[in-house]
Amino acid sequence: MTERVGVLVSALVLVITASLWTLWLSTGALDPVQVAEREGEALLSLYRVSAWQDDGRVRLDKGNRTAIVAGIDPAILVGEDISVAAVPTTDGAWRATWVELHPGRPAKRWLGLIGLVAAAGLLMFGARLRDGRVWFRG
Amino acid sequence: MADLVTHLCTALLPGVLLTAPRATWLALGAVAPDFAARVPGLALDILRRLSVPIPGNIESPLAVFHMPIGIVCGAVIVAQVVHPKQRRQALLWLVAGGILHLAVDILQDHHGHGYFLLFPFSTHRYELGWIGSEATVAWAPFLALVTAAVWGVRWAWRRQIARSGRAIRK
Repeated sequence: MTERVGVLVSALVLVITASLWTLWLSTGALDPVQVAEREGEALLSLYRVSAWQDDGRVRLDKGNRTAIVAGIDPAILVGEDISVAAVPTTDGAWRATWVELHPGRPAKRWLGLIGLVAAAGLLMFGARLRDGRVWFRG
Repeated sequence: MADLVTHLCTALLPGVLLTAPRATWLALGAVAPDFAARVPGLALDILRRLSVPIPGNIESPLAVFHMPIGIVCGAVIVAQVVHPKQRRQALLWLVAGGILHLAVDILQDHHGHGYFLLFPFSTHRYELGWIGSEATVAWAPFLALVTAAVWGVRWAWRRQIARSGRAIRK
């Protein structure tokens, strides 16, 4: 009985926290434009360079977010992951104040995949079913 | 976030001193925050890049699983699948793994854009900024080797003890 109450309370807290998080995000508190208004510049963290435009600016993408940024080193290639501190320009684009490259990002993704497989292996090796529940050996 | 191999190793290395189930729960707890909060988003990003029409930010509520409150509540729910005789211990070690995960993550530098450790009570972001966000990539292979070696020694030692026990009984 106590466990059931604990699970119900936990589920309720999760739903409330997730709702508050979504509500807070919807205020635009983490939106780069609002961040730049508050702090002077915004950090466009871990965006992928999608394209170099004819005007010398780059299109950066992250999920469904896109940013057009000027002032990026032309040596940076399409497909690279970068973080950019930038200030908004009058035409809705951005001007980079500094750029950080993330050359280790692809390797980190592979390590993530390897870690997931290893964790799945750990679960499969360490656990079995007993009385309809998961029992860990050892 | 640090890479998942590093997270697994940081749990399995001290876990060598624990019983096998406890070490497993600690390791699974150390992987769970990224598995629940980040992996779905990465998977959806891949689909979006393939032009699959997926609404933006539908995965954002999952971010709560990378916060202490989500780790604890998530562990309470997940622990229900564990056998009742092991459930309480599983819950404790899963939570410990989740906290270990956050402890490793906040070592990193995200230029002030750290982790929401106290949400929903505070929107302050925490990070220590001691290592770069990809610094663990270089350590991960070494950590994995050390972890495998340490667990190999433990396995061989236990096997030796089991053999000695059988010889004494005979």
